[in-house]
Amino acid sequence: MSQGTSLAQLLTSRKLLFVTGKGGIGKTLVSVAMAQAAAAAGLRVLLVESSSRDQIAPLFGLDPVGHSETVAAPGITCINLNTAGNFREYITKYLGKKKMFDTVFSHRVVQSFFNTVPGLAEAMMLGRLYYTCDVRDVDQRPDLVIFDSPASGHFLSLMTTPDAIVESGLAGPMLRDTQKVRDFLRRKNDVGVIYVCTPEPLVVSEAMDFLPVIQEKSPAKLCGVIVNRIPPSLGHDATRQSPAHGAGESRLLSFLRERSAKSAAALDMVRVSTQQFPGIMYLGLRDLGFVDDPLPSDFHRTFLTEEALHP
Amino acid sequence: MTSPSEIDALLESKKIIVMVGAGGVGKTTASALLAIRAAMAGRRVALLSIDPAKRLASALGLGLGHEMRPVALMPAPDKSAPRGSLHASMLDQKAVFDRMVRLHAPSEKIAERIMRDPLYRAASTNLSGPLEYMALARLQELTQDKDFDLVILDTPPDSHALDFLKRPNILAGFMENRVMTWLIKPVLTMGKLGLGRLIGVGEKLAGGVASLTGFSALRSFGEFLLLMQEVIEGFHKTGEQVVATLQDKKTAFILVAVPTRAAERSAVFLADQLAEMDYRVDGLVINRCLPVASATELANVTASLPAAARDFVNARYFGEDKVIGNLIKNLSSSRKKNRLVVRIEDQGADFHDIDGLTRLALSF
Repeated sequence: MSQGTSLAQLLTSRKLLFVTGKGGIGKTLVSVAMAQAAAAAGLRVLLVESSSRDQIAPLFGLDPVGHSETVAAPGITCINLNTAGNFREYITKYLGKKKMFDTVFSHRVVQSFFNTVPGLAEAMMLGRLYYTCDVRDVDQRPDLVIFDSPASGHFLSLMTTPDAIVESGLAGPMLRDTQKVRDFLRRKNDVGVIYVCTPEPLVVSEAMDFLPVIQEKSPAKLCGVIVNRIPPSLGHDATRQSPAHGAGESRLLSFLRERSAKSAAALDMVRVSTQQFPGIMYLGLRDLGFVDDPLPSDFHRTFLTEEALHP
Repeated sequence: MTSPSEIDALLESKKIIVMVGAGGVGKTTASALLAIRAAMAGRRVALLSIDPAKRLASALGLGLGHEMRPVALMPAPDKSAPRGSLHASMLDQKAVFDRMVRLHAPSEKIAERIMRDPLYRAASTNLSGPLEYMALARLQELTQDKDFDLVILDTPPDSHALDFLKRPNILAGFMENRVMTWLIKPVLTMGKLGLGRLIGVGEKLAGGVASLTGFSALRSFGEFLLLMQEVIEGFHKTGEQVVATLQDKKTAFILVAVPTRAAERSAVFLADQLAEMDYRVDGLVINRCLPVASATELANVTASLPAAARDFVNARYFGEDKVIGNLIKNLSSSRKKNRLVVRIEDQGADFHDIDGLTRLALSF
């Protein structure tokens, strides 16, 4: 696996990285740490999420920023894109009717409208990312956009939208724009998907089922797998099951042991799978036990230290 | 933490328990555990789940179909037999949606037309708004069912989950506001006449939007809404009944969280929102807690571990303590009453069968 791409290479060469994976496994922390690492390397990073409430801003000690690009740290801006905001920008750009939009569209009914026209919200989201990475004036473009993306299932619906729209029989500017977005997402050297999982057999086997689907159906392709929360080694003594152990043994110790064993089994599964996707990044990150916020500005140094994933 | 008898008192006295929490915190598992515990103690429980993890679904024997199906309960570890019953189902959004349409449409013919509409087919299967609404509609049905005396609802795995409680009839929004009429009418007119004289701000914009999207999406949306008019009014009525049910004192909301800062923020936010809407939060379930009885046990175990492992276990233990402390503080400030706090130990995400679930359900 040593021939695989490194995280540093991905951060410096790509324009847009999607970070996805099952819910609750640390996508947001991984995205933020990646942004810190990229900013430390001198890049201007835009950190994007699309959540009902800001998840990223509190990690920088900020109040919710919502749909407006806000400086979070030197070199890092963040934004929580929402569909109404994306749509507003798109309509305004084409029709130049900002005030009119606000009169009519600044209503919660609008949200229902977006949600009811299938694919509209997704198209607007991808369009906004494309615009930020590739269309906007060069001096306003970030070097790297990291999108802390929705969890696996929703991510797939997001990424399959461009094909669906192109084939749907829509016409006009939205169809042309969607084709451009799709072409952009297909640019392997600019755009990639990083999949985050944890070292649990069930989670890894779900990942192994999901990754080929991304490769087949998403215009943006897989460029990395991160195994987050690898438990630290328990050392020789603790791993050895001595006769003294058994019914009276500490539950904590047996829990830790069981976790280590599961993690080892899951990492074996990951290693086998690396042959399926040669050349991409495989990165293991250790379990920190607990992460308090706001994050220290050098959090990436503690967090993005590679854990033994390689055989 | 709360004593077992208080947990059982809650399970004994409520008719509805709504579990809320962010995605990925083990809400479905917590719902199943409470359902099993209540059923073991003698209640006739209906568990309505939205999207259970595959393995949990198979442990409970949850299959296709939205009808409640019996779950075969196992004896407790002390060999005592279950005293009540447990039924469970996965929400079949489309089935509930179809039934609501048939119920509220002015005629069978219109119901058929609605169900043939491509927009309806997309909306009734894919959307999160209707999903939440349908979960509530199904909850309302189940509370009328004489076969059950406790319904446990596992809400959608999304932090939008509360929007629908605020305004259970999301579709009713269309009826209340003339904005939609502005948007829809010109499009319909244009559709009929081939061209339309667009008058007024909204109409111009609607025309613009329509031209951007190639027109058809918005037009079919307008037609769809007109078709749905009476059904939407019916939805609205059900929505009002649901609100009354949820505000009843026989209904409990239970927050589910895990000991992380992100989950803490989310739980506090949810609790505030619920309080604002006059729904009562009766308890807090914290999943994935470190299985350790005391700081002494912690010290004994970590003493023999390498430094990195010791740091990791300590960070997790003390972090968990901080989060739980904050949650309890935050939740008790909004109401005087003491709330239920249940701490569930980390199971390494593995539930193989109903036996394991039962053991865990009776352990806290």
